[in-house]
Amino acid sequence: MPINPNLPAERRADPARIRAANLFDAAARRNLTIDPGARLQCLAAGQALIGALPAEAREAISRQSSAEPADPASLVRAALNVLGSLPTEQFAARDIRDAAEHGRRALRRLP
Amino acid sequence: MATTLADLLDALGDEATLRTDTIDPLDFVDADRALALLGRTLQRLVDDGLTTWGGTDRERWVGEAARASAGGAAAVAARPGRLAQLAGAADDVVALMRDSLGCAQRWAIATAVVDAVGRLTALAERGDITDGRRRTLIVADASAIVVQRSAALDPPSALDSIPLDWAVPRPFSTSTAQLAVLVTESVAGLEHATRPAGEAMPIADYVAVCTALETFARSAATSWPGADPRLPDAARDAGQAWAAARTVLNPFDDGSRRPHLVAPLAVSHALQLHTALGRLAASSALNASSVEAATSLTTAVCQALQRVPLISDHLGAALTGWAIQGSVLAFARDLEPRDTRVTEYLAGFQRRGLVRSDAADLAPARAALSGARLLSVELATQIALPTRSTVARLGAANRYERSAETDQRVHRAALDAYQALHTYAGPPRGGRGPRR
Repeated sequence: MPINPNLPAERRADPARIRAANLFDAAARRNLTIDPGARLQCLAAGQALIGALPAEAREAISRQSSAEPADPASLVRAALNVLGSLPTEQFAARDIRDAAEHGRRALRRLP
Repeated sequence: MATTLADLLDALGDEATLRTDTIDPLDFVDADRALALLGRTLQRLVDDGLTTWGGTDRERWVGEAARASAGGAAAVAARPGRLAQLAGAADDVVALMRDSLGCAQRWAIATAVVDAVGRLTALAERGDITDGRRRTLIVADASAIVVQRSAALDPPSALDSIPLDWAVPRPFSTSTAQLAVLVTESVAGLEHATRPAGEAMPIADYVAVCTALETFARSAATSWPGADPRLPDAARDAGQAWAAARTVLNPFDDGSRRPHLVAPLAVSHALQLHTALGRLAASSALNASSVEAATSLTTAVCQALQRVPLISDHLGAALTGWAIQGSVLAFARDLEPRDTRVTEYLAGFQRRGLVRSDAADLAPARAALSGARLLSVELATQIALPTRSTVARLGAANRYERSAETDQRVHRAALDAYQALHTYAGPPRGGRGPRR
């Protein structure tokens, strides 16, 4: 699955992307007992949405993520909902579709 | 190797992605033909229904993607490439499992197929195609986007996605392959051969499958030398439960308990699994396998164990079939006495003493099978799946099921299996038994 490490700045600043990436990140990091494959899919989804961020920004997101509830499946479902609520033309962007695909793959691995 | 629908679709998506920068016109034609095949798959899913009420936006958009993918595809005269082969295999697999799918499961499969459609259209569009075909490809991609968006809002659950993990074995062969391959193939073969379809499974097949699963469960303990200390107990209990599931059928016969000229498919797979496990025991006793082989074997056994609860569901369907059809006979003397069977009971083990078994007669078999299933779930969840597991959904379903059960019920199932094993011990009813 291609991951775009150099997304344009305006895309990284998109609130929906940041919100969905937060949720994927929280699902991957909060509960270490989840299926490792699901965690990888969540990380890949977050990466597809906001690309390679500087370490400080990543830490800021992680701090924000720690406020989310702990159930990974609900977090992934919430992230997918954020993406699915985007207008169709915005959802059609390859990176958003990739993230949604990773998210659904993660969800298949989570009870 | 045995494969799954998820494997095929993932491989298809990965292959299409790898060719993003290709300039080979054959790749574009290949992608176009793969799309045509996936279009056929989607159409089949839409025809069978993606929702219980039908005619919804879900069906409309998946149908649109199906028609646009299939329409006006390149001629199929040339030899199919890798993409078309993978898409063709996925199409065949969906056709094979058609009778066993519900609406939610079809929706889960459709979303996975649509993901592959999205990747293939990008590749096929770059080929030397007619304007008409280019337009249909744009429609296919646009419909795929709408379906993916809808799937993001209403994603299929892990339980509904299980058919993506159903095993599709290679045609049965007796070649002496690598041990890990043999274990994977045999268990995939058992899952496939026991899947309910038409006529109920004969008792001989059922018993052979139970025996194979008994040995398989017991062998799990030797596959992980340094594993959780609870694993050997779980393996022993599950093995014993499968022995009980087989033993409680001793009073019953349907005419299949006799020498066969050719072993039925389920029995062949069971025998193959026995052979593989025999080799496994020998190699672990001699510590003869390399580290690499041992790792691949551990992975194979671990993944195959996740399939056992699914196989027990198939066996449960066989029990239901026997109860409904009354195809299984037993001597009334061997069953719980009933007022309606006094004559047969008094006839003893004569021909006149035979009765057709119903659901009440088969209740002990059902209880034993349900205990074996629970203990197999317990065993499967004792083992951590490898990261790149091909049965992640089955693993998730097993963990979910185990989390809903109490330890007390698991212990109870183990005790019941022990008791049933001793109650029904002894050889199956011999002599001139009933014939189908």
